Amino acid sequence: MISAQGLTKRFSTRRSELTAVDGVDFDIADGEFVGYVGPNGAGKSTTIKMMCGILRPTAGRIVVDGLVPCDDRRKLSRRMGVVFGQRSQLWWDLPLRVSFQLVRRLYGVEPLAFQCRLAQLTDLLELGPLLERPVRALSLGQRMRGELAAAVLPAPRVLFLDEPTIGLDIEAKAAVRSFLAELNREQGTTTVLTTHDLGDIVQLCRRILIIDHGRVIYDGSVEGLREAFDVGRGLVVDLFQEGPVEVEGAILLRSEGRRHWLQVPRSQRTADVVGRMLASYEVEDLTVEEPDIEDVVRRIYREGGVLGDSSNGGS
Amino acid sequence: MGGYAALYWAGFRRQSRYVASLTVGIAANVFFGIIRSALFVTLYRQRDQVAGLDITAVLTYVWILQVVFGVVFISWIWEFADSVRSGDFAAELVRPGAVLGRLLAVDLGRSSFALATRGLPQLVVAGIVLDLRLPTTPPGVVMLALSLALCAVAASELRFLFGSLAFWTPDYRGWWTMLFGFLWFTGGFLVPVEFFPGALRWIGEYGPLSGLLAMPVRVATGRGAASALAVQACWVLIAAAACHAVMATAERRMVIHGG
Amino acid sequence: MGSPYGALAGAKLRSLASSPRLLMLRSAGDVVIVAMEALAPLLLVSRFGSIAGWSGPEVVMLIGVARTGEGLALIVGRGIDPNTFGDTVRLGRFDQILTRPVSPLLWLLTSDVELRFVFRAVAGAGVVLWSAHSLGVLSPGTAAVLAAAAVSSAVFVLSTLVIGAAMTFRTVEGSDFALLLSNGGMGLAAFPLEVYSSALRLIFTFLVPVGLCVYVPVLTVLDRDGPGLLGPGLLPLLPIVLGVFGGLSLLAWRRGIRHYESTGS
Repeated sequence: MISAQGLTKRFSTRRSELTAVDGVDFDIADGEFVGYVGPNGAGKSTTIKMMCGILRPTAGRIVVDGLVPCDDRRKLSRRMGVVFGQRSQLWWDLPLRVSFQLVRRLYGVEPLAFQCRLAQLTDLLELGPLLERPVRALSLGQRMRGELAAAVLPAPRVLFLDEPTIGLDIEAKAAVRSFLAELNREQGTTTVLTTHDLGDIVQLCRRILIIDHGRVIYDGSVEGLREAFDVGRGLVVDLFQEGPVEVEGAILLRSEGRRHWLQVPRSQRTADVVGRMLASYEVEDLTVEEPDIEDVVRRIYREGGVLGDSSNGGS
Repeated sequence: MGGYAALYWAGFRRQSRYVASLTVGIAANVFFGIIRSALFVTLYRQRDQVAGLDITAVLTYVWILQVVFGVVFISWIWEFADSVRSGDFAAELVRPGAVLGRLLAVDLGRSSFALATRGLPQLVVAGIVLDLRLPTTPPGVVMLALSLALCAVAASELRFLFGSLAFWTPDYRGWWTMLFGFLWFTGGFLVPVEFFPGALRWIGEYGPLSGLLAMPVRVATGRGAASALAVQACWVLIAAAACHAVMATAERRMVIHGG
Repeated sequence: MGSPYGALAGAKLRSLASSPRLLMLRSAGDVVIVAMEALAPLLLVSRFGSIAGWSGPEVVMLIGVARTGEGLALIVGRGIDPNTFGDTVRLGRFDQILTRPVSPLLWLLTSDVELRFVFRAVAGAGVVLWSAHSLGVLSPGTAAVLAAAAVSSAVFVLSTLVIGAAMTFRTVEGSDFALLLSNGGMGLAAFPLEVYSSALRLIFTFLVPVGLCVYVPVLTVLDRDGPGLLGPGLLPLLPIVLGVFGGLSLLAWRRGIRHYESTGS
């Protein structure tokens, strides 16, 4: 569905040159749901813009649904839906329903198909009570539901979402996520999502692409992240007495009174470390924790490129 | 007082950021100055003196117009009114110092920048290239500077009065467009007020808008400079009183209706 | 109304209709401005006898044609007016337009239709009619020439706005230059070109063809000759020169978009 080879984008001003996207390769198959994440300024939006045909790559190649986005922009736009979380595509002063009708006219959707699709979306996104309200009178969460409906009304084959859950409350986020999951499951809409909300990734994406400094530093399953970045397991021990703790094969993260948090790298067998722990100290309680995916990604964000190197070289 | 001076400088510096649009603004000003000059040069081929003005006086009018245009009709005209409508202005009320004084200080800072960079250099160049009647004695120069300063204050007051329409109606932009044509004409921006017929001329020369253009021209050309300054000062004070009255009413209204 | 562009314009009209009083006031303001501007040459002529040999109503005809054209252009041209279009680009709204299956230029022209300028055009036309009537030159033939002049002026203004929008892709402020071209051109065309130096006359007739759009047709209607080359004989050149000017503006627009694609905003 989407294929990028050596995709590169450089912005040059008179004084400086900035490589926003630096030789990115990936293939996204029909029907995939991919999270595209990375710290601010990593090149996420630039990549999305190249996929939509807004920006022309400096080098490399991008093909979306068999089309070169910049050259076949209008043709491609009929097959894709785009939502920019921070900007509205709806008509501000007019009722939501009118925005949908305009989308129908712009994309040339047949009236009957439109009625059918609108009914379906109204149901899924619970838009019923909002249809007659002007967009400016909608809350952020309501508006985002409207944006999503407008983006998928023409039944696009591919959907690009740039931070669709930004600023939404928990309930609205849940509504957006369940809708996107359903759309991907039922209609096989290929979806590419950028987000800073790790909940979006964990709940929606089967595959995740992590970009940093314009390069892809991870491409794989969400579960695979733990292995790839060697985060290891967590160990929480409560001792009978206060005092320093040191165990071979584990790193002490922090201590609080009699409780200590340690980390066991994947290179160590957890059972051995626990054994040594029990042999050296009087342990009241001990738990082993699988690392949280959110912690993993947060660490990648924090440590940026350093981790990119460690995943290749294993420092 | 120091606070207001700081606000004035903040306004001045804020305008200094728009250098590129300043260049084009000057180009537009000069272009219109040249067109108007050409028009009057052509007209004065037929007459030496009309309504007490000769060609030198009218060309001075043209270039003083170019100077004050950037002070009276400016790009930030909507900012105050828009902030009233959006409710942002309510925050101004809780800040220390008089609201009007603060608004005026910032606005004057901004228009002073326009005057200093866009207006005066043009006048100097035009004065060198063309035969204009500009003051040459120190008292004359001081009076012209004073007159332009009064013009800037009057323009700020006018902007406030127009902007304060936003306290009462969401259609404030409409009212402004509606009144703009009259302001433009009676202020003498299309034709010098001296050319107006009968009572209209009197309104143009002594009415509330006279301080924007007509009086600075009189001060520049030295036709009753002192009385012209007095007329300007008079209207500035009247407008200040009006601004105070409007602000007090608006404040009461905002307290009652919650903005 | 089968095209999406009609629907876009319709949507804008609907939102305008939601504040009718604002629309009324601004429309009235436009009428006042045109009336005041037409009053100016009458005052000058009453003091000086004529403007370069032109009577008051004759000069008013120039102003009327220019304002009619400008009004017609701005009805659709608001979306590419440098002031609005600069915001469109800066706030990323242009990115969104590029993701739609439409021509970006037509989108901009139709989605920001501004009804108040209908009244500027109508006021301009009223001024033209008044002058033609008081000069006794009104006939089907002259009406056709005047209508063509107004439409040509509209095309001229739109072309300058397109050039300005194309420049916005490079420098947001530089586009003000186009505003100078259209406002300055229209200001210049409001008076007989006899007033200006021959260099200015030629530039604003052939290079920036506002003189060809306003002045030459009015010369034709009044059946008089202008200075130098200028005269009714130039009228056949109007579609050619204006076509070139408009064509160049579209070329600039296309280059602007290519530039945008390679740099972002």
